[in-house]
Amino acid sequence: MSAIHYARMPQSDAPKLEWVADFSLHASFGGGVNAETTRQVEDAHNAIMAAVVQGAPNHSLRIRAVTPAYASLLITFETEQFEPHACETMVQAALARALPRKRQNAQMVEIPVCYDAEFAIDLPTCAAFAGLSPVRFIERHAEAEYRVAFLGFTPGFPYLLGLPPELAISRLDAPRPRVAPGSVGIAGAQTGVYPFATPGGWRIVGRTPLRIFDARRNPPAHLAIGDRVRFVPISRDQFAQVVEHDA
Amino acid sequence: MPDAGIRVLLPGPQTTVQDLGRPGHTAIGVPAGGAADARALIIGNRLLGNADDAAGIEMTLIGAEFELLTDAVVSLTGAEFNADVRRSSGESGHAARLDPIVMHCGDRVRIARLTSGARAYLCVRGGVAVLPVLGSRSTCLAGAFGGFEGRSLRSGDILPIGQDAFAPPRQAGAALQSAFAHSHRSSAIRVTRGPHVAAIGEPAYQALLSVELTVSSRSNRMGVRLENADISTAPDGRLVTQGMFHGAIQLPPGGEPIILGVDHPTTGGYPIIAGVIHADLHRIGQLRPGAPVRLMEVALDAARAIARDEDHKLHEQCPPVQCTHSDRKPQTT
Repeated sequence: MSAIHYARMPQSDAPKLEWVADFSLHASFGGGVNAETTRQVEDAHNAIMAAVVQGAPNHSLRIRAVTPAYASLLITFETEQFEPHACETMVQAALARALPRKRQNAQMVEIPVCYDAEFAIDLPTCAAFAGLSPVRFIERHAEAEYRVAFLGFTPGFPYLLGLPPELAISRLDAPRPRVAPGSVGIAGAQTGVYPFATPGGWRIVGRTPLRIFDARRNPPAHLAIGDRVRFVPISRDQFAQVVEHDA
Repeated sequence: MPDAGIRVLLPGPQTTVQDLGRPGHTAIGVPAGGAADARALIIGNRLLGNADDAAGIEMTLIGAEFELLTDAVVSLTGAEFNADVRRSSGESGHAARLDPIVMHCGDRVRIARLTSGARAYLCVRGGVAVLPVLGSRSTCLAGAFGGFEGRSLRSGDILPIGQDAFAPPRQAGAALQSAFAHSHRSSAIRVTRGPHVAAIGEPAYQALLSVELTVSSRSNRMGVRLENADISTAPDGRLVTQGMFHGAIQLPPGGEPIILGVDHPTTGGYPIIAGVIHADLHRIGQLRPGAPVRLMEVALDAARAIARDEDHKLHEQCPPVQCTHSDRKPQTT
């Protein structure tokens, strides 16, 4: 691969590109799992999508799918007129042009959460593990500001960073066969919200009445990559009044 | 006619409406989905004069039975099965795979238990005309949307038939018949080396390539589990969650490899030991519980050359239909 001169990004900060399959290119961002790295991924994702919309000059470049995650971007190409070096060049050029999004305008989304015992089935274990009373655990969980690192695993599922370190706890040894839709879960330092009744291995500490994903809505996912999120405790009665999904 | 269409008489264990999927929404966690054997759907559509991505009906393992509530032309593709047509007049006869079948209102078509492979397709001239959701008529079972009411079909469901046909139906021809007859016989699936072999260990990778694996019954559209791998891997073998791809072969700590299928979760943390080549992705959809599988390594460039060759061969054996609307463009949202 010939050296590419980066206008804005020094060589050492450039993401590493690797073909993980015949038509799938993986861009890894060094720096670990943290807010700064997820911002780089988000900016890179925006830059790739802008290149898709504009079209690349001098060769046809057909991207089939782009999947951001904590510290990476996976790009799958269509097979027609595919040329791997052209794809690498396009991706490197797009990433070099990536501009940091104006972050102060990132929207803050409030997610109502009922931490009632009926919903917060793992709260006693999580609080005990943290050495906190359940009330104090809920306070700490709800006063933190989180950030959507990316959406993945199932439609609309947000991977959130920002869990206070003292609340971190491993996932369950074995997943439950069914987790209620809207369940708020913890696994390691991650927080997430299950959009549907799926099997799940995260520790459940509450439930939101909101529909986290609705294919009929535009946009269908309630949360977007880069959103700032705060959990707002609500009562069981308030939950019953506003619940959007079936139990 | 409000009730015109295809009525489901017997649905089988998992019968869903599928087209070629919605690959542009993985960034919000929506799997690309679509027909698990996309090649079979494409062939069925081309023979009817449909665009490649017209929606059809995907059946799993035990087939299904349908009644036509209007005149229509259908084609049957995918794995091997016996099928018959029962006319409203009372006559019945064998229904062959591939060649279009003219059906009249009141006729029934029955696809019996599959004798090899895992999936069969019924395509209809004009396509199954359910409303598209997020750019596709495929059923997303995880999100319960798309296709017919976001779920597997049940007895009594009526699927509307569209008008989007661009050319007359045609016969399959000898070359396609021959290629199709042999396509499900081989147990070999070609793979490229996975990105995490260094972390998993070269011996485990070589072991995976050398044994005859067996398709587990605990397999579905999300992934195919492989038994008899007998590979040990690090007990804490998880990576930072990253994007996954159709055909990735994950190695969870339990040791039983999983080949990711069309409805795979868009991200995951298990190491990837190998990746099914693009040209063999459709074979994943035909892996039948109990069937043997051998993984054969090819280099990246060879995999790409095979994809070009296979595309070229299919183009010759079964040319695409010239459509008046533009081909599906990559989704940008």
